[in-house]
Amino acid sequence: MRKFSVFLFVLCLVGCASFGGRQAYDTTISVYARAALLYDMAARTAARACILHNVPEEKCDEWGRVLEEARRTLLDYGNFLDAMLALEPTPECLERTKICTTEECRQRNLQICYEQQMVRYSRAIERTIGALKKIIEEARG
Amino acid sequence: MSEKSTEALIIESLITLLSMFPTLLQMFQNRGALTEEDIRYYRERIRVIQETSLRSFDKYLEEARELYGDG
Repeated sequence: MRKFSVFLFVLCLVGCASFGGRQAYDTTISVYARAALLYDMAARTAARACILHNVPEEKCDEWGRVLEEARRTLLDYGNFLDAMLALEPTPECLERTKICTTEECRQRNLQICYEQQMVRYSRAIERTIGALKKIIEEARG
Repeated sequence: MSEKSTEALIIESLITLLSMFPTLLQMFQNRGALTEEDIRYYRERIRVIQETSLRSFDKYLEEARELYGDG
């Protein structure tokens, strides 16, 4: 029953996303906000554990490194979304259009580059959420 | 924040991730369809999220020290 509810929820999200342009933006920004909130929660939980409990310094340093990587990933992803909203090519995608002499080639290369970046960010955010979840579990002991 | 809501947030994030790529693609395909006001609104939301939730770990440690002392 629970699995079926989850399936319906995902189906609804995908369906809603394909319904209209604005909905896709709302969903994307909501995912971003949730991932950022999870980072905030992981950082708070880890900091509290480091100060209050007897967590070894090495462990706190390790959490700090993982959190910094997660923060950078989320900041980069936010900047990518911002560039997409501003209709500006990201520096990486701009580089890929330099070989083009026609507008058609430029648009095609831009689209391919954006799609590759989207796949990369989807995976990176997935890894980030996994890492943040692990920190929360460890910090709670 | 309670333990239950943290778990809910993690599950929600993971579930929503499944729709992330198609949604991003949809967003890219519709990126010319928004009004200037919509674009300003979304860009502002991104900026606020980055400023409020994505602070460095050192800041959280400082806050925890202020709140709980040195343990």
